[in-house]
Amino acid sequence: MHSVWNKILRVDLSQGIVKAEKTPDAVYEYFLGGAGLNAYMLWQECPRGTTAFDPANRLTFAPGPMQGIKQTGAAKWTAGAISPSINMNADSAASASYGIEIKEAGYDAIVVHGRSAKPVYLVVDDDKAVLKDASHLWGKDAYQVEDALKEAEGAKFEVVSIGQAGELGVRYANIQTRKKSFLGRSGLGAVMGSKLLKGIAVRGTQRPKVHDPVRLTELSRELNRRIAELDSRQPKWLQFKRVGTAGATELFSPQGNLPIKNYSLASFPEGVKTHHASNYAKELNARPWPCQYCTLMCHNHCEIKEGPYAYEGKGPEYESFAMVGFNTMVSDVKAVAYACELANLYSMDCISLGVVIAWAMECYEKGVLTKKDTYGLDLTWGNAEAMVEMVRKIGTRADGLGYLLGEGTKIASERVGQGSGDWAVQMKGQEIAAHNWRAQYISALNYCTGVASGPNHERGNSQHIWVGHVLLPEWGIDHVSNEDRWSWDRAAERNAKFHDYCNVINSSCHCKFMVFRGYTLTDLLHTINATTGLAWSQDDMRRCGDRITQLQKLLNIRYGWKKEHDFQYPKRFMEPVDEGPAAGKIPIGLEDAIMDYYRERGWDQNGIPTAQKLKEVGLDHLV
Amino acid sequence: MSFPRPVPAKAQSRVIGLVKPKDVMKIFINLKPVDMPEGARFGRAAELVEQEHQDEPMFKHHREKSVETVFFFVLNGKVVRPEQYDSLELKEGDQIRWFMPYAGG
Repeated sequence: MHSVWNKILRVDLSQGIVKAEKTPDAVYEYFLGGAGLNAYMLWQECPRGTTAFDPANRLTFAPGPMQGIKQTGAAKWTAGAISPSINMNADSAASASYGIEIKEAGYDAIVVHGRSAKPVYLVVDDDKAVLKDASHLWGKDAYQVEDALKEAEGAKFEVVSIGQAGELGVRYANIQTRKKSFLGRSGLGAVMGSKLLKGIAVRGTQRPKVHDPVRLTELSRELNRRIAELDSRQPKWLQFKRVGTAGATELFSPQGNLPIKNYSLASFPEGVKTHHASNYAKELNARPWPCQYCTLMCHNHCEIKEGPYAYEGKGPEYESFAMVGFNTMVSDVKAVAYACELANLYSMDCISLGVVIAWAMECYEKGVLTKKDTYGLDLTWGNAEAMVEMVRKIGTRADGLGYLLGEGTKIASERVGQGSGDWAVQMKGQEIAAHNWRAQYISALNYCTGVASGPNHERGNSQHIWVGHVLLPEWGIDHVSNEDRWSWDRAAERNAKFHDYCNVINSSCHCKFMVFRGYTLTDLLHTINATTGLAWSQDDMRRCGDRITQLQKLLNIRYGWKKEHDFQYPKRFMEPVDEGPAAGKIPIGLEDAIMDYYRERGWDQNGIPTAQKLKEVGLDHLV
Repeated sequence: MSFPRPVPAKAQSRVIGLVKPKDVMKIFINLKPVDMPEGARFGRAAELVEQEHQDEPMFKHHREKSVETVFFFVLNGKVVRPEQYDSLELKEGDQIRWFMPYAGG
């Protein structure tokens, strides 16, 4: 297969050994790379009983065959491990240039296991790789580490690093690169911290061969132009290059899709005004900050020049400002941006952070927590100062509530008790993201049945069918009506297709955002074929996605998933809001829909893949 | 950017009435086959897509707020601009994909 090296870099932190290892073609033909490779590594090497902070846990950084092909969106890469929040396999995706650099260094993945005796960082310089002392970096934030590694090793190195939250085991700690892109969900930063691995610096000068360079160049040129043009034709407040994902506020509000006040309200007019894209761009002085090769340019660089929230750096994405802003009722867009950047420095996932703080605010409102617990902070809804200070307390794992909130909403509510589990909006230990199940029931189904990374809105992103009218006509999702939002008819089929689609995208390593500006499954198939030489049909591509989903499901089972976990959805799922576009909508019938999903997936009534299904996707020889 | 108004339905039906059945061609909208009279302009396909989504809340919100284009179209891989709707003639087998404006994650 083209565009892979058939080589991984294996890092044993316990022994301090780093060496290259060959990987057969079949692995890539089956799993592509990226998320598929992450799952394969766990399957092969992490037996039942392995936990997140176990040295045996494999933390795999994997680009994919599409990495670095000079097509918009081809900077995406993934990492995976057993997650400390869901205690099962998880993968997460980031972009910038790190994945491309791993590829150019001559590797398809960097697989880390063991635990170092002291803090270290890894340097990979083409085919030379060495572990170096990072004791002087321990205790520093993620951006300081990025700067330090670039200073020590060279500006051309691409770096991933963790901050204090990763070192201290916050269960939703993330990993950052280039101060702008994050392996956000599922706590991979805590896994890295548990291994005493503070950062990795990579530089490469090689280019893998693609199958049909002429065709690929032609395709990429056309797609780059089409996607840039489609973005330019949007209204200004929706153009990714102007406002990033902040356009979501105005798109989601008329659908009832926003998460407001720990998902208990439908309306927050002040917040919709201040978190509107035009205000975001103005108050935060947003400018494009693109990833390598990208013509969409959704990331933005922001600058708040003065005041208590002055900073210069990454502007928050929709998910971040929705959870830290709307969900906590903080309407001050500068405070929210600053809080998100603080989270980035400490390395914390803003989605989980926003939910956990909102949970704490609801506890405070209901008297379950008092000022004695909150360091004297008045943790009322909308109190920006208190919210920002809580981010600091969590990031540094301050004794008491800060430490507890770093455990996540599930554990925090179990420990606090007093009925606080009723407003813990989480499943399987991971907080629910900023797509409201009341606006489209399929979101509830997605959160309950996700296998790639627990309840994750982008591992399976079927909400986009309505939220953005993202359809997959090549796979039979070519038309939906507005009323279908609140119907279970075909929900299982659609959810399954979107799960598989996400797995193909995250394993070939391409950015899902391109689909929002007209990148189709046909484009994806042509690109994969021109890059790899696989000569796939749409059925082959779907089967690959299905195969990876099935493997992820087997991993879930291995690491302790039980059927009842899929049904332990937040109580809030069944609490309606009384106004707005989704007034009165609750996903009645969700349990039946989950069983439908099992059938659709070829799982038995206990949610276990059947032998026939595993044979159908070619996993029978592996299992 | 103003959205060019399509030919009113009444006028279209008069035109359709003059078209013989054998002068129907097949185009594809999001891969679904759709019959169109030969010589139909792109605007007709755009109107079909709009009509299908009349009750979609984002679409309604945009239309109430502005006259900017809500749907974006790609014909045989090329972006179609609204000013082309009346002039661009559809042909047998044309592939149209449509997209709504979207942001988020």
